[in-house]
Amino acid sequence: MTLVDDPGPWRWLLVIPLTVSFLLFALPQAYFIDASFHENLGYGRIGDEWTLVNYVKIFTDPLYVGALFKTIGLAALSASLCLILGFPVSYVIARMQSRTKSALIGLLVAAMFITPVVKDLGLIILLSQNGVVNQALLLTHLFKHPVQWLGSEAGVVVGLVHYTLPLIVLLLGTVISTVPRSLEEAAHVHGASRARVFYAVIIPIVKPGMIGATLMVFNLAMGAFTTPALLGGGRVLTFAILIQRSVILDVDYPFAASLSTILLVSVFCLNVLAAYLMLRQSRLRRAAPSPSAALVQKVA
Amino acid sequence: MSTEIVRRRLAYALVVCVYIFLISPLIVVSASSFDSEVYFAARFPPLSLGLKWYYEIPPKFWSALGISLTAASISSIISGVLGVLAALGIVRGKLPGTELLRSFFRIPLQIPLVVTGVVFLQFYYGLQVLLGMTLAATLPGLTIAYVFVGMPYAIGTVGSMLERLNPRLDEAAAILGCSRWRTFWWVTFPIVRPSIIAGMLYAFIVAFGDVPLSIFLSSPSYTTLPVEIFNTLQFDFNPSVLAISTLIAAVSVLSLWLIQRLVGLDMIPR
Repeated sequence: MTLVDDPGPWRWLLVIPLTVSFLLFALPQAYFIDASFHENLGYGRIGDEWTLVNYVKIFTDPLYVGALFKTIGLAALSASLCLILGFPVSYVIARMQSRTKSALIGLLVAAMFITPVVKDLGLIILLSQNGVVNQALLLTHLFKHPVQWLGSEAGVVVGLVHYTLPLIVLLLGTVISTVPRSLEEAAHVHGASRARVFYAVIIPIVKPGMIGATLMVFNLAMGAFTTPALLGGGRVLTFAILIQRSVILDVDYPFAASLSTILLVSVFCLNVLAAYLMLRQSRLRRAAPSPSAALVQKVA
Repeated sequence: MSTEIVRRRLAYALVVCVYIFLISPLIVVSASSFDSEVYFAARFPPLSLGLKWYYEIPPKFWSALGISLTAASISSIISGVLGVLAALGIVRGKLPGTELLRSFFRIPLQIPLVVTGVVFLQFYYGLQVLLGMTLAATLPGLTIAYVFVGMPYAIGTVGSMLERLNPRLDEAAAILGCSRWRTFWWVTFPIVRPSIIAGMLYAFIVAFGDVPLSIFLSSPSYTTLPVEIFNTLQFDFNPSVLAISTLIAAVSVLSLWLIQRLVGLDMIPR
């Protein structure tokens, strides 16, 4: 029996992937963050002394401060819209028990994994000046002129919601399935209204998971590149786009590195918080096991 | 009771709307790719039907497709191998602090891909200065970067399958006199195999569709397909983009369908 249970030999298998991860992850990352503390001397050369020049430039130049706030704002708006749209959808899917459920989940995964370039191309066609969306809006007579979606914040938000919605629906689905149906029914039997069940039973249980999922989606939107670049048409400058520009156009690696470090640090801190909240949710899940819990554990 | 029915209908209507929102761009792209009488901008719904733009896909797209397929396939195989090793080590090794180890391997998913792209570009330049090795805008360079983002998917899928595996099976094999190695090859591996392929397919899809990483690691003469499409959309629209986009969407859908057949899509490694 010890032959099977002895974990020793299995541990040695970790050596190769860990080495690769350290070489590919820790080393370049450290080298990169180090570069952000050096001055750019032009022609790809980097100064020897440590300096905060790049960070001072970012936090004093209104262009970069504005971009940071705009990135956070757009990501927050998209994440909130995702939560509002995604929660009811996840709830409906989580309470389904048919084959439709797995088909719907499959569609979500397909929508999540298809390359953003193709999805954005479709959105560009739909949102263009005389595209389907504008034609429909004009038909309602609420709008006199077609809405300028492309090259504006509105288009970027639509794109970001489209990019992150499948993920939040999947994440919330796992969170909602931690609420046993019997709990809702019990509240109903005792005379609680639908709204009261929602606010007094469901929300308190799913709160940590809900916040965690929203934070994850927020982070995804913060770091998104393809969607803001294509739907913003170069006029909506988020942090990710500024990073790409300072590498491709200005060839200023140390500056790009400090922009990236700021993005990295904010995303990383929020992710740690999100992971902690999701972990609290999964502790609740262990207290109230549901049939799909094992499947879904991985998602968080 | 009627308010209950209204509420339910509203909820279902919202679900339908959200799904239409999610799926419509794909339908629009594939439908307008068959519209042969469009030149400057795509239109939807299409007014004609034909394969014209499929025949007029420029050679640069085909060569970019070749680069994307090669880099994504090689990296998915490497991610698969490393993923199996890591997943076995994590699940079977039962090290203290496994949760930390897991999060360590998930870190690539937390870093914005643009940042990863710049990190690799700078790293490759550093290696070039130090060792004289050119990695930026080459197949090995792209492959290494793709392994970095693909590995977590492989570890996730294989790991969750290993966790679901009944340990009694291994015990039974051991009692019947199987060596550890034989137990692995004849009991564990066949059960885990679909999840390995699924993990490799996820790694493939992610690498195949990537823009923010590849945009830094490609050059005008060495570009992956999504980056080529990205550039075309930014600078000069050409309806053949619709045709090639439909083709790459089809590749992703096909891979996802395979995953669905192998392990089901409800096991998402993230």
